[in-house]
Amino acid sequence: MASLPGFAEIVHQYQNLVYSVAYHSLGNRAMAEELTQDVFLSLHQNLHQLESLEHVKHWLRRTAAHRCIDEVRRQKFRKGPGLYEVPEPASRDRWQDPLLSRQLEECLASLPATARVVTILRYQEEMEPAEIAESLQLPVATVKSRLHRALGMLRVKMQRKESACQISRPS
Amino acid sequence: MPNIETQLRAALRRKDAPAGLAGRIIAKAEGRRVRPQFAWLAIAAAVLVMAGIGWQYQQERERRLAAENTAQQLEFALRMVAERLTKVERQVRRPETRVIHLQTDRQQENLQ
Repeated sequence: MASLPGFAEIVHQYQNLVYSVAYHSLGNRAMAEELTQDVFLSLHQNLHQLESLEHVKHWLRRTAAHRCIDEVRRQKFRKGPGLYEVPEPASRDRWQDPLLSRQLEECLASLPATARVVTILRYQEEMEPAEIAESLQLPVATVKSRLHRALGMLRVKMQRKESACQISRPS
Repeated sequence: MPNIETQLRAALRRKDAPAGLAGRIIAKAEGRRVRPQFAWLAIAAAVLVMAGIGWQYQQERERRLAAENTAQQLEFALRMVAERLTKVERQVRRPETRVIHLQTDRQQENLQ
């Protein structure tokens, strides 16, 4: 069994993974950063229980996903700036349509907590439904149905947004 | 318009963590590692403070009990004195007693 790299190396290797899951779930840089710190500090306390780098990655995805779901649920009861209200100053990919991505992020933010995190794990982390089910301790069928429903909702919302844009556009 | 799954993959690409985040996490984790020693010190100090408060409370309780006991004894003594005084007062006010006293006085004068 290969020994685990040091904590610092693990942080450098997986910070983007955890931060991205948190950012896409919460839509807020500061909160995503805070959640990322919490997840890694928790990892630091539990590192002795983990055996391999793959195990660490799995643990990080699962913990980040659970914390994001909890945080999204808590946000429902808090008042404050809405998700995706503040534009992300970090570099955007130039090849992708920023308006389309922004609309999609806004639609994603309107999904229920679990559906949102399931979608992020599927399309950001390219995880299979079975892996997501294992991480979130949900039946595979539930993950599939939530994913299917989330895609349907996103499709409808995006179509509505597009038709609204077409109507508002001057002929 | 591209398919929703393609759009999602593009929109949900991994983002770079803010600069310095890893450093802050590592520094916090290092800071936490030192904590257990201080935690023991804090626990020991808390136990000492609690023991001190408990000892002071016990002393105060004993003092209060002693004071209550003394007060009860004093009250009992005062009640006894009051009862005696009432008895004596009753005897003094009785006419026969006065006569008896007078007779006694006269007998004493005769004797002298």
